[in-house]
Amino acid sequence: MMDDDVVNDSPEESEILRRLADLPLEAEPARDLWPEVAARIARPEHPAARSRYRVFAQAAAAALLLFAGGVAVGHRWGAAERAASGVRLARDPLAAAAEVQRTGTEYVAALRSLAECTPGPGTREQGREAALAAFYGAAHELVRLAPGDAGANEILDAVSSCREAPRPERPQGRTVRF
Amino acid sequence: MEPALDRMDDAVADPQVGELLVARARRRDPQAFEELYRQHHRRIYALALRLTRDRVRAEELTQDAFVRAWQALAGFRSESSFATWLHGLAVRVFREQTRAEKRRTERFEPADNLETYLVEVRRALPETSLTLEKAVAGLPEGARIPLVLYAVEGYRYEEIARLLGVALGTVKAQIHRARRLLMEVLKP
Repeated sequence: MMDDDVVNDSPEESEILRRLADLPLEAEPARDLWPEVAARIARPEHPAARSRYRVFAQAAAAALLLFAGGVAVGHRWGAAERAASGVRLARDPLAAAAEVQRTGTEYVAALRSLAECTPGPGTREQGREAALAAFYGAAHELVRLAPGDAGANEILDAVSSCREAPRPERPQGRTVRF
Repeated sequence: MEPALDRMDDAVADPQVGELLVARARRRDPQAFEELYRQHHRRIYALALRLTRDRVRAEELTQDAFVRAWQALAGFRSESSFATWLHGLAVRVFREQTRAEKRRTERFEPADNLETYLVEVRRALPETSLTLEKAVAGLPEGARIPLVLYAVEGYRYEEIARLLGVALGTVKAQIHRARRLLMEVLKP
């Protein structure tokens, strides 16, 4: 079993290791733990979490619209440096992580700006769809990055659910905080 | 890297049945998942008990590990057995839960602090060596966790390093230290 020992074992150490390896590996809990597990896995999603995802998705949609609008205006007015802020293909993980951070900061800044604007008629739903599509792509990449990460999988599931189930307009005047 | 947890797969008598259950559970079949729970929960609870040294925390960790497994089944790639995957998940959940509790002292804890734990050990692991369990439980956490994973559960150094998020050399040093401390405690 343990063929990669650090040191040569003394007979006493070998004996202790043998005794440790012989310790029983199964223990019955004092009570049945399954009912609580069953109740937790039966919950499709925590309502608060669902609400957070939706709020974020909506904010993301609006931010995407704002960002796209900004880029278009920048092009039109000759703001070349603004157009050049698109994602650069990174060649190493550090550069890629820095790029994620940079664009993430821009994204959050755009969200913040949007939260302070009043969206026009219909833009909210359009923005929602665009944001969910982008957000779904991001969540998918996140799961690819860390397949065993339950949190990432939950986010992907949540975004998938949001995309499948269109949501009515939310009340006006709510503030989104990050 | 293929895990060294050959002791672990005893939990399921028929691997094919286990694979079918996992496949059904991945399709969100709660009955199949309950069957997996029934097959594996004793192994996870024993591990959780030795990691946490506390009955209530061990129960919570066992439940959390299975809930996390349910949520993460889509990411289970069948490269290792379900038991191995589940064990690793339980260790990661434990690590996450204890990350916030970094104020543990690097010293032997007085044996009387472990009395509640040993009551549960007597009940849940009636066949075990209480002397050895007590000695292991009294080790500082930095030495105890790697030792339990290595010497009791059968993990390799590399696997422990990956699970605990520490350097390989650190794991080796911790286990070496744990063995020396155990030798001192168990010296007649």
